[in-house]
Amino acid sequence: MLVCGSGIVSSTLVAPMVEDILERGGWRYRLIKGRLHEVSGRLKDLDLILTTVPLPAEIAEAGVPVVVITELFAGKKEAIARQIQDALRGES
Amino acid sequence: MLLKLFAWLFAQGAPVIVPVSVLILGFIFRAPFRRTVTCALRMGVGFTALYALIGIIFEALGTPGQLMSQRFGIGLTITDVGWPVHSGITFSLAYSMLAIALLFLLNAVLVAVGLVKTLNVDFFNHWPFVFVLGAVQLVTGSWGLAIASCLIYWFLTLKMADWSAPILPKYYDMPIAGISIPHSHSVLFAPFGFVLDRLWDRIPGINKIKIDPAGIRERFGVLGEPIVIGFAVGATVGGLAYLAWPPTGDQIANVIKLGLTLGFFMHLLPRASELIVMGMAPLSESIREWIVKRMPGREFYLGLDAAVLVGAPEHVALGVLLAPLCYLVAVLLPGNAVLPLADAAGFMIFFTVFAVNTCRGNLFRGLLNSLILWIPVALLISGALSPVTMEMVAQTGFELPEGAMAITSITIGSHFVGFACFKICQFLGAAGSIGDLAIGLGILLVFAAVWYAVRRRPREYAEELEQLRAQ
Repeated sequence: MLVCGSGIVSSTLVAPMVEDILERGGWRYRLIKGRLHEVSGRLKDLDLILTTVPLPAEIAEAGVPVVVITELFAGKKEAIARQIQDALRGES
Repeated sequence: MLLKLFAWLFAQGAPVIVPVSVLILGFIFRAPFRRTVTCALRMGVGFTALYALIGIIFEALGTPGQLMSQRFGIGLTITDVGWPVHSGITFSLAYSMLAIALLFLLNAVLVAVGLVKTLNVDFFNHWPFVFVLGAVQLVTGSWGLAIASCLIYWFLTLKMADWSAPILPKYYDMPIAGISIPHSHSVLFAPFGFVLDRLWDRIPGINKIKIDPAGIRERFGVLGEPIVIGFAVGATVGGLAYLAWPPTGDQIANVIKLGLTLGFFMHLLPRASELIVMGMAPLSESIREWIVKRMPGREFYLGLDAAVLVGAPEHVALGVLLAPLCYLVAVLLPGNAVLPLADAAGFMIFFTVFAVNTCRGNLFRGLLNSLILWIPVALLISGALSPVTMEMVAQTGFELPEGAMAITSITIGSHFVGFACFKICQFLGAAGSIGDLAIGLGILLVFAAVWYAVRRRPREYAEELEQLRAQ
């Protein structure tokens, strides 16, 4: 799940970069976008949370791996890509 | 021939002209071509969807709004259609994408020469600056005044982002260093937060109160759901407009239908807005990369949206509580004509970030600040900016139906400095009275005085937070 504050802007702007990273890593995925408020209700369906908003502690500690991807806005695509790959490998 | 082509393009309105400008700019900044084309197509669809939604609101609320004010004297005759619509209207200006691209470049130059430290990479939230540009141009017809007011507002926002940046790493558990918030909807209120914090400290009784943010979302969260707000507002307006005693079946049906229509509006709004944002994704990405790559070694703050801060529980709680409470303010505030709708659900959380993070996260003070200052200011200004917004809608190729309800957004009302620039230009461009000048200058003076009173506060506050954390 790709999360931002409103579920509209930041998540949409980074979505192409995230898709790019996942495709290059050869992952089969289904990306859902949403706002911060929606995360806790969907936790059990998620394998990975990618977020532009640092999440509240109770979500961050709920067992689903979380990668904060705000730095994609700073052009640090490679570093974020590595974190995402690591998180996914740890999962499967 | 080429001129004719351009004239034709401009006459087609936003769904055609803005995607074309995205293609051209994307080409200049080397955005991947195929993706830019598909995204530009989505953007055109997004504008079409957005204008269809505006049409629905016009049609649905026009008559009931008038009836409501005739019957009960409730003069909330301007509907708040929220930032997704207001930004969409602004992006429909033919030059919107070009203006943002130029502001990006100018920002990089200012950082390179050391005039500002913030590089605002938040492409989307440049829209209020473009709105000021468009509004001044529309009202005065002068590009000089329009560009000047846009640049002044934009520059002040960058400066405020620099100024408030030291508190961020101390207040939030930030996973990344060196960010600032050039989010013009919220950051310019920061000085007021600091001043009010001092005031509350001195009032016995109030200075002791605290509210715990835990559990507030669970208890009140449903009140802030977009569909719930849409239905509640629609049904309330419908009830006040149509119901008699005893109510007939038709009347009740009308009430429910209006509720459902507004619920539908609220639900689809993000989808339309998202399509428009998708259209600018490749362009914003390539401009950002282009600039960040060319930045010299100088340290700079990465300027982002206040949305990156709102994971903190006090922000979540404040956003949830203010969704219903802003209706109270709207009804009680003298002179208010704005009926909160979309931004009641979608804006409060971002808007009030600096109402509470300037008060050590004290939710009670955040609530108080929002109710007495943030929301009243935004309501009054958003009402005052409704006429020029309607002009912009008409200019970008939308035909306003007869007796259409006026629209605005609470979000645009948060831009008090932009509004002040607009008012001053109205006077300078011979499109306003001396009263407009007085309002504009008055707002700027108050802002300058408040900022001056707390100009050293961010650093001092950052140290206090550090000590609090150490304990």
